[in-house]
Amino acid sequence: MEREMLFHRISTVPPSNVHNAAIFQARFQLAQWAMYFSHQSSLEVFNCMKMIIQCAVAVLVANMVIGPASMAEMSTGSSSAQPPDLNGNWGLPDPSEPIDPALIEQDGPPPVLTPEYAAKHAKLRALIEAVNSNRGVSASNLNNPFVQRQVDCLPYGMPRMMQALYSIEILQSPKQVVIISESMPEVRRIYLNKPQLPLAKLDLSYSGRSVGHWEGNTLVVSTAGIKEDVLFSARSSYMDAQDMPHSIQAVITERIRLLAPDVLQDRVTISDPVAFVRPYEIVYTLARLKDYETPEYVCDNKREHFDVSGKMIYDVQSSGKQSTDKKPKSKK
Amino acid sequence: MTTANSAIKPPQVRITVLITSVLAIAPVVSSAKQHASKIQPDIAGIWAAPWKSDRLDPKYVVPDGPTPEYTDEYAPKQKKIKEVIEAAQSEGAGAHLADDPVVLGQVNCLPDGVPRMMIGGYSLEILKADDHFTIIGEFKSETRRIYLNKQHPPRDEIDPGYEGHSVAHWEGRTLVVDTVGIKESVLIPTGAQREDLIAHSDQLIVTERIKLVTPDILQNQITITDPAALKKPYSFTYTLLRRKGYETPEYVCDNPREHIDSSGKISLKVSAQQ
Repeated sequence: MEREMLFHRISTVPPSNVHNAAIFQARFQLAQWAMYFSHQSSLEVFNCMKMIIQCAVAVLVANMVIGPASMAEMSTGSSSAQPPDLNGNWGLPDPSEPIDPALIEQDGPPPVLTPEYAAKHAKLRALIEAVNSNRGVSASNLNNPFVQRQVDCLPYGMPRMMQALYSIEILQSPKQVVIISESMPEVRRIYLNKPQLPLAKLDLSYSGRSVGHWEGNTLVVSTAGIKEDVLFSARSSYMDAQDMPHSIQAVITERIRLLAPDVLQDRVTISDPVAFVRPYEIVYTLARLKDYETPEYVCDNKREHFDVSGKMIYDVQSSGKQSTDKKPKSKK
Repeated sequence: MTTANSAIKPPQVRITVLITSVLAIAPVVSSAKQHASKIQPDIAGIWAAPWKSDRLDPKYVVPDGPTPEYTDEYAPKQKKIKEVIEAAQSEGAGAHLADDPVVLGQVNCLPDGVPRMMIGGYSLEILKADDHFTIIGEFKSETRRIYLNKQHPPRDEIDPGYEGHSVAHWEGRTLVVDTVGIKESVLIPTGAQREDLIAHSDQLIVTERIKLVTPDILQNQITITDPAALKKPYSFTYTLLRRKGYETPEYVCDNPREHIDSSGKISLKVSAQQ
């Protein structure tokens, strides 16, 4: 009930504009100073006093620029600049409470790979088919990222972790949005109002480095620095567009918003001028998992391994539970 | 002498004024802080064990107590674990030990589990949600959740895991966390400074008392209770420092450098080829 009311308040505020952004920025600054202040030891109070003076000046300036009416709005804590609350657990809906089909948007047209990457993809697909059909892959392919992912329980990486086949938890604060997937688990951090680093300064990773900002009620996120081992996929019905390679130039843009209090949309645009002829889009629509206690997922009892011929075999001798078989627990 | 005294007087006066000002303002600041922390001490943020460069005041380091005493039933298990660890680190554990949890943990990059993950050797991020805390270890993205003001489900309904099931409540400024359901392959530290690890039974209860001793120093007093394995409970304290502005890098164990050769010896893999 509380959440619904909160959503109602958010959804009725006018769309963001420069004015609101200025208020948000001022509030953000104030909050930052307040946090800084509260963390100082008494020996550093003089520094804090300097901050207070700066703060007072900033408030005065803000007052002059934004105008008294808005300042009053600020001090009463009006929600006009408050971003929506994405906190919680999200995933595939409980079959008994499906997402309103009207809210589910279709993905864009299928991606088109450049000739160079189409050739790479063809090679990869042959390998994947061999693994999936259990004909075995040659030992020389053991270091292939796809094979390794199966055997070593590697993360899906971005953007596939946002698919939330198990579930994801979102933890939001004014400075960052942290997203944890139940499986593996994979963790990504979206730093708010921070610049992206140049590619040369990024350590390539499964999740990449994400920066974001609020555009009204939408969290806009840009992710770069995704390692080439991560394979991209389009929607599942595009059979030919699964497990695609990409270059380190790939940039993923997401527009994350609430379509309803309990429905989250992540509109993902993948751009990579080296690997794809044009950007392509995936739309993930997730349901809020209420009262969900995320179970532990650890890939600790791998049943699949390769025999000497490189054939993937099923290890039936291991005792214990196979964590990777675990399905999300029914919502209590 | 008089001349010398008067020469150093002005700075002293300045210092006195400074101290007086600090004293005048400090109570205001600290009472404001105390008021805020009565509501909820802010343990959210990124924390890590002290690094050499931190020069942490030794008064914040709690020395380990005596070595825990095992029950007669568990003493042989502890002895074996010690042997396996020592063997694996030196001449090889032997292929018959390849499925041993100690060896598997090293080779398969398994989580450390509770309470060992709380040591913060890499870093820990504590995040506050409405009804729980989520703690993410930088190392392997090991994640645990601590539910506030909730009860444990009955023991037979808990799937034993690396992190177990954790519930907590505030006792004044201290977050008291109670964890059960830790799987038996998880090894338990015997101290914060002592590196020995021990086995445990399914009766293990890990109690943590987490508090801020300064705004930027977090202490976690951990008590291990296990009537089947231990003659009496023992405690140790992890001290963690706040890491402002730290961007947690991704740690994925995707190129394990340690593997077991055919003799069961754990070794460092020096080439990419397996």
